[in-house]
Amino acid sequence: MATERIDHKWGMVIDVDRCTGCQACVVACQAENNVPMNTPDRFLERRAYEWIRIERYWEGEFPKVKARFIPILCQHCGNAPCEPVCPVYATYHNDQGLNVQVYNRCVGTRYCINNCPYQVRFFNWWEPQWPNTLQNQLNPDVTVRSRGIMEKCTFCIQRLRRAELALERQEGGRINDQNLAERNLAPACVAACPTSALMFGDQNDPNSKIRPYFEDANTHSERERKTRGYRLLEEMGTGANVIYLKKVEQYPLKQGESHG
Amino acid sequence: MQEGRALTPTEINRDLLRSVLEPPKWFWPVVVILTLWVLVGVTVSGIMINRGLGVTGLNRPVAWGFMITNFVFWIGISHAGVMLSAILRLAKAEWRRPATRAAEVLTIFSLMTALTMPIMHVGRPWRVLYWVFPYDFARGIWPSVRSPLVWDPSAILTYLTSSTLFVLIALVPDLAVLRDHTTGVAHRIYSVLSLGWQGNARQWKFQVIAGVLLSALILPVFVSVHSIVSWDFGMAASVKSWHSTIFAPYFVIGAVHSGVSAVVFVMILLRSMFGWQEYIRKEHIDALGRLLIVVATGWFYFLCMEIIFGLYGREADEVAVRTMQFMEYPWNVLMIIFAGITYFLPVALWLPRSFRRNLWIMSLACISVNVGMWLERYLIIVPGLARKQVFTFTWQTYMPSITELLLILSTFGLVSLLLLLFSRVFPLVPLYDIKEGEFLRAKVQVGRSTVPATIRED
Amino acid sequence: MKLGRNMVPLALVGLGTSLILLVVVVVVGIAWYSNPPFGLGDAPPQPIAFPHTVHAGAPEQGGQGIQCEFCHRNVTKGAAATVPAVEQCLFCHQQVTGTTETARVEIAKVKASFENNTPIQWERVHRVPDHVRFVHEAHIRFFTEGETPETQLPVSQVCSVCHGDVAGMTVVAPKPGQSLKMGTCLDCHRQNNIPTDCTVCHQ
Repeated sequence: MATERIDHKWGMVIDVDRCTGCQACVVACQAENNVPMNTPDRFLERRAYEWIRIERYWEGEFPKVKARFIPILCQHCGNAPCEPVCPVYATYHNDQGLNVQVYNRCVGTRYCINNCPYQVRFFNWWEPQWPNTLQNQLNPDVTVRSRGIMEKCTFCIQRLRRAELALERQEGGRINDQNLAERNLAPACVAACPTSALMFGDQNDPNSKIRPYFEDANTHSERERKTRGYRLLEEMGTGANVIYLKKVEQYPLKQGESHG
Repeated sequence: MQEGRALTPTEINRDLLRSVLEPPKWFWPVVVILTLWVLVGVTVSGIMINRGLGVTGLNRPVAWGFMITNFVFWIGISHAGVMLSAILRLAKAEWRRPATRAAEVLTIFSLMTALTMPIMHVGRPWRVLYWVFPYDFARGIWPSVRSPLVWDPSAILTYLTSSTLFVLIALVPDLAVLRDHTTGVAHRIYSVLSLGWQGNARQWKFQVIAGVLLSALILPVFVSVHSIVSWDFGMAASVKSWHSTIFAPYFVIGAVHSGVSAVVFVMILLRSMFGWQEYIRKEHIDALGRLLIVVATGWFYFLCMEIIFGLYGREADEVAVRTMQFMEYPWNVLMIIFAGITYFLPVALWLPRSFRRNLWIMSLACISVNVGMWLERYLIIVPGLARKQVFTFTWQTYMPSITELLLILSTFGLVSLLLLLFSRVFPLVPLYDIKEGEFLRAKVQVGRSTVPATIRED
Repeated sequence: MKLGRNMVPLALVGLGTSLILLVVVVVVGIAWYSNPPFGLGDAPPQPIAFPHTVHAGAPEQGGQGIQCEFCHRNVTKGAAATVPAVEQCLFCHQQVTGTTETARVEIAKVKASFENNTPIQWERVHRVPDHVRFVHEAHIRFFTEGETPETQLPVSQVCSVCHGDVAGMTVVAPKPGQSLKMGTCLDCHRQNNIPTDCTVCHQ
């Protein structure tokens, strides 16, 4: 019977070209991970919780204006700036390439928010509350964070653990793209994306869909890459486990031209 | 050459023990007012613990605000103690004598106050146990020594311990004097505290050796404490305007700047409160003013360098921070006020000798320096976080809430209260040090010339 | 100079500090050495006096020798062991109405609960905090399907590793000398060479 862990290295590829900015991933994440409700008050306090958020940028001047979207979630950096600054190891890197946040260890110094260049860490300023009608909606597999705790995207670790127990421990198989998708155990945002802009998989699995993008980004410099892949703030050397695919400009602009 | 008339040991005892033996009438009313002031802070802390940190004005990118600013400020104030007593003791500056005790005690109390700030800042103070207390609770997880936040408590607690020892060693001879001037319970307590001090040559030798040794040992701690506090910021690679190698010396000299100013203000207060005009003389204030000009100018150099270093790279995120600091309201107004009241106004006031000897002007200059140094930390912390990276989508600003403001104000009450209570129990000007000074300034007539009565070996 | 009056502030500060320290030490001490902390939930009174001795106890000792997993059905299948539904009690208790007076009274309560459609409000005895995800199935499987004799135990013996000899208890209480604190979990995980990565339990 298998108790040893299979050597996974999780990764995500986000195709910015396919992202329509519909925010289905945001809602799915909110529902899956017991993320506190974003009431108007929270937005006005500028303390909204979005483990994955769609950043929207406008390009050009009205009326010739284009909206650009980029989904930003925890990049699960291989060399994460948030990890060494935590005084209690509440955030650390695990053997499966995940940047883990241990809620019950967190003391709330908020140094990791400061040191996260992507600003994907969220602090529970208040005790999170749900209306009575939503109490039973909470996911029993995910800890409900109390106030004073940092939280962030986990790549839906509860789903991965469930897959691990069911597929690898009980059935002796190995998690791959296909059975994750079949059993709906891929991260909630990936499962929810209507345009399949988000892809999730194991970087160590040779048949994984995401593997070529990671191989390309890991071995080639930004100019020599064969795919459209890039990492966010690559120059900071965070070694992110999320790769973005550039937007394809169907009609590239010439210098000085504006969008129409 | 020292000013003023020569003082006899009896006079020194009578005057300097006045705060302990014959407390002024205003003592208890002031203590009550300060206690109420501190209670406001306790209440606000209770609200913060009870309701969560939502009651502060902190938000997503700006996760450190008033409380950390105040923490750095009080750590800065604490640097006066070592600067004045250890460094000036080793440098044998005669004018340090009346200032040492007040400076060291201010060090201890401001360190204690500073320590409360991060504890309140985390929101759930009991969890600090995991952070500061090096014990694994049977889980095999220890505090992470890679984190600057673990260096902080070790540095600060070392500083607190060594400063306390420093004060205690200097207190022993004075406690013996107090023992001899009191009766009853007080006498018994002072007897225990004075550790059987009799003032014989052997004891004096040990006391002096201990003092000099601690002065020398405390110097590295003095440099390291604020360096380590600055590394809380300097080590944050993702906050572009913090990630600077210049922060350690910049913070240390800034700390000395604000700390010595605070000590000057405390000394002026003591002088007028307890009538110690003959002990804390204008020459002392004058000398400290001259020291402050040098410190302030050194600090100003680092301030300019920090800004120039930042702008030199012309990186987009760094430029964004500087744009916020210099161009956007209200930060630009704060920046102008800060530069004015931290350097230009006080240095202008310290330059003329007559101003340095005017207590009102000196108080004004020293208060303005401290307000300015508080603003300095604020202007480093908040715009740095608000414009951390180039993603404009998450840019925010910060507005402190009333709870934070009250908590910060109450820390000033706490330090004043602790100082006042201390003055009620121990003399805030070292008796033996003043006596030593008097001894050294005595002159004898040898033939036709006047020579010092004591010749020092240095 | 009044006697000792100038010592009042020092005494007050000292007294205050000592009091606060004393309270902290006492609270931490009680929390640390009591199991569960402050004795909360330690053998709570149950709505029905259910004797595990009669049901799960060995036949030679007058019990029925029913296996743990017969009633706690989910224990080999999922995360929670589950307390059986009232319906399941009635598998036997439609016929078995008890031999002693107390037994008759208690069994009548079970029947009443079934007929009134009101579940029995059992009090929870073993509780891990919300931030711990304990999967019974994985633990049972490890100790029953292993390769060494120590990991080929019958299910009921696996249960007693953490729960103690429940079959011998009339009132269910935590296993004496055994805490369900993180250190206990970690010791066992380390002994058996199981990953101790935080995400194994904390999600």
